[in-house]
Amino acid sequence: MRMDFDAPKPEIKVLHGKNITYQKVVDEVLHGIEEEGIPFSVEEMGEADPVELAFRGAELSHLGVGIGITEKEVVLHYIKLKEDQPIFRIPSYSDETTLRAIGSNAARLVKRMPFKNLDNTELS
Amino acid sequence: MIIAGIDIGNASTETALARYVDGKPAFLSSGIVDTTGMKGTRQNIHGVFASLKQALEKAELAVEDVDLIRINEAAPVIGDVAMETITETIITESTMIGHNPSTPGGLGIGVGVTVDIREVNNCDKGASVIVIIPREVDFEASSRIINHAVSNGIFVNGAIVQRDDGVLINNRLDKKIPIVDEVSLIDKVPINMRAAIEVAAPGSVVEQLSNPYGIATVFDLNSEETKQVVPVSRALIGNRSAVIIKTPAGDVKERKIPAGQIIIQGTNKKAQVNVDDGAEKIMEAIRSVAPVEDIKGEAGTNAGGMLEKVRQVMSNLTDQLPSAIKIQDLLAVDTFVPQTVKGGMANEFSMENAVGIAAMVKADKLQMSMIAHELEAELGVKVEVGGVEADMAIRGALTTPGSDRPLAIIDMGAGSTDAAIINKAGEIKSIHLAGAGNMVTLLIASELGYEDMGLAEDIKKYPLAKVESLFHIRHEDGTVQFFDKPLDPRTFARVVILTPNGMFPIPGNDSLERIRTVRRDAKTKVFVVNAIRSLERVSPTGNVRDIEFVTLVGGSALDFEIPQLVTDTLSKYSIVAGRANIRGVEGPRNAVATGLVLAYEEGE
Repeated sequence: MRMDFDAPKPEIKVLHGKNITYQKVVDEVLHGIEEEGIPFSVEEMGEADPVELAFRGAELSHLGVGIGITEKEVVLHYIKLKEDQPIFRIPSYSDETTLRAIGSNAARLVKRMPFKNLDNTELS
Repeated sequence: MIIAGIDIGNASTETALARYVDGKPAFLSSGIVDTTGMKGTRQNIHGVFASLKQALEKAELAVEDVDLIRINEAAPVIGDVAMETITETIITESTMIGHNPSTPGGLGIGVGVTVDIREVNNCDKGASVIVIIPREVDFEASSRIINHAVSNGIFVNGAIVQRDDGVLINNRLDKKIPIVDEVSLIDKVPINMRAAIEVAAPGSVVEQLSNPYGIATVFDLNSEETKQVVPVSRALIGNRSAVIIKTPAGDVKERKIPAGQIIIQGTNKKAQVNVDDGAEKIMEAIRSVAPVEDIKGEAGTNAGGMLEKVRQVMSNLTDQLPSAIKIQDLLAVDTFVPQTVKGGMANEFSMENAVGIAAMVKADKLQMSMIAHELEAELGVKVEVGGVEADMAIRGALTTPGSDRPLAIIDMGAGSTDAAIINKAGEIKSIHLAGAGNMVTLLIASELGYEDMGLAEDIKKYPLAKVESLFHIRHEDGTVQFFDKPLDPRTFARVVILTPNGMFPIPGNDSLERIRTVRRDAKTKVFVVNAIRSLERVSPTGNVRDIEFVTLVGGSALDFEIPQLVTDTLSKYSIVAGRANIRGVEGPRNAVATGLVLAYEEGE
């Protein structure tokens, strides 16, 4: 909890595990958010479950939007959803475009814009 | 005895089943299925059969119990629709990018010579360039190259990017430049040409490049050349970002396709009208020569092709020679069609003028008796062809509580709009006009640029809403509806069609307001126009005002807004108009089928 009286900065919270070996994955997701022009912050946390990480992120984020990244998965979560039912989850080995797209979608959730396609089969 | 009235319509086949006791009919049940095949053809029999079976099942009867089947004289009209653009924008030599990436980078306007980013450091010091960044060069590399070039004294004034990288590049530049991204066909961008690039601030649109004089300023054009860039500037209006690349032999033109003449042959008059003059003139000409015997298009023109296509379709369906097919009515509607600009690089569209027509031909009466014969053979039940469709419809419509003679009906179907009027003495006058539900679908599809007719059909039939969060939608009228469960992410922030089977997201970026306007305009252009047109023709005095009561029947009268649009317009002529309620239970459906049963009583 911040102790000063400033309103917390509205930002998307990106959480990932400790001592990571997948900085590239994190970077791509962050680029996706950046391209959409929404502020974000990154933190590491000793937690292995990506959905849990994402939900923690959503709780910490003033915008209610969190992303959890582990070696295996990237998960996008929203504070108003049930903890075990995130919006999107993709494997961490997804290609660059998809990783970036999930970052964009986090921002688009904030901006209320149609999501980018994460599996190239649906609406673009 | 038990009588079945069966109405084969363009879209649905309806049955009314009744038992006659002491010469009075008691209705038992109704049936409705989709019409099989084109109305008035042999394929209809399957639909007739299914519709009858449905009604029989509801009444717990078998085919053998039926004593007589009466089918409609299938208002011997078939409608078809066609659409033809009459203008086209072609850009040769010069080229442009006028799409709307959601996140372009930077701000302002930049002018320079196009150069591949990998070659930029070979440029002379002091040169003004626009860099082209293909997919292979990522944003980190490109921003590094640009920063390096700028520090070497090369003026990099803008960038055209293939990937969705605009903001990322911009955030890493020392000197901000306008950047247009998501240009899919980047290899088509000519190298070493003068280009201008403009990115507007969020919430604004490009101003310089959507103004012909703005383009003239940037490229030093003379007045003749300025005239030529008008189509380009027009195509760029309303975009947040734009690029124009000028090649030496620059030549941009808007071509007008000769649309041709339509020749309307009336019983005693003849009129010729140019399609370019627009729908209003065409409709005026048709009115002036009514009744129409045949309508032809000038050979070798779009108008000719369009009408001949209709004639061909009709001749195939009815097994008659094309020359024997007479087009008896035509509804022309002015519309706009988004067409890909030839010479664009990001699949730009330009709204081109188009004219849509619905045509109606008189079909062969024999077809119905042929269907009657085959049905009789197959079912072993006597089948007869009842009276004219509109006459039957008015009989059915009179079963609406609160209606009485004199009464006019407007039967709004899928293929044609029919009107009939019955006076106090019971005399009926009727008319069939081209243009109905199918025409509305065509207009919606073409104005919104959809290939998929099913999507246009759904837009026509169901209301829209905007998904505003994962938990709520805002309806067309502004009311908000919340949901317990999160909505499908695919619908998030999109305009959706509220079909009975759930929400269906509409692809593309059209706003709810625009789709709604297109939908309502299409309905007005077809049904409101046809309501007035048809009532004018059946009114004993030729004046719509002399009709007092009108009921609306037919499938399109079920629509959630067409009856209101028509009622609203007709109330201006002080006409009481509203949706029929056949037999007090069927709504606007089943009028003809009911009428067929009732006509038996009157011995017709």
